[in-house]
Amino acid sequence: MNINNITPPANKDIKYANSDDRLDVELKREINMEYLQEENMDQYNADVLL
Amino acid sequence: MNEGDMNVMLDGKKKCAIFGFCDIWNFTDVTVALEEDTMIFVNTISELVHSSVYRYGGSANKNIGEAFLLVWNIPDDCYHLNQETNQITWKKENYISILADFAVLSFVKTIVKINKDPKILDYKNDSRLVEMIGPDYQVRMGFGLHIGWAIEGAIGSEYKIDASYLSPNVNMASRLEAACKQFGVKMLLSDVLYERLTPEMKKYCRNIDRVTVKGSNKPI
Repeated sequence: MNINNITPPANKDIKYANSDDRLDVELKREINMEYLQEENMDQYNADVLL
Repeated sequence: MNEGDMNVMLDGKKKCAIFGFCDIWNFTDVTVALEEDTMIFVNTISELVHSSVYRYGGSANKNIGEAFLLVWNIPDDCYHLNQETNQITWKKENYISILADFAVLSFVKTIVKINKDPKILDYKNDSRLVEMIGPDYQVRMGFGLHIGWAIEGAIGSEYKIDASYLSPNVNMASRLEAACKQFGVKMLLSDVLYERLTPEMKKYCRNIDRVTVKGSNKPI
């Protein structure tokens, strides 16, 4: 899986309790967690995330 | 015991994790100054801390008034923990390194947010806080990070129960946070965690000191 190609969840109508910020956090977690997959580890670089 | 009743008399499970502890400084003065509004204050900060930790693969374990215990769980197949000596042998080192970076990243991002978020910055001009604490008041926090084993389990009774982690390693994260004030820094990592970071992240760290914290006889 190429983590650069991750798109937002298919159901963009999902709304969380307070705001769209929550959806943003969920999405960013999903992207970050992809780095922990064996096949994506070589794409990880702390400099990029900092 | 009836069906559906909770039985808390269960063994915990020893496992490895990264423990983060952060604390809002001057909190006692803040509670006196803001009174009922303290809840809005602390929950505004909670939102920043929790969302940042969650975004980088961690979870909030405890809200302790002005402090938060954050945990990055390490999957069981990433290490071998000697149950007798508590010696840890890391297996999936790349995984651990990225997770360790995530823990640091989440705290760095939280520090940035604390210094940029308009709602937090507004507290600099809150007359109640300025009068109580001083004209240079701003929200300040300390952050401590450590990696090690802990007993994961449920603590309490059928009346009140909390998922919790018990270990000197959890205390170590708390001690490191407390030491931030002494060293005049916002964040301190243990050498054990530093060793697990990626080279890219290590270059952003500096060696501060070698200390023995309260409750431990092993220098870090």
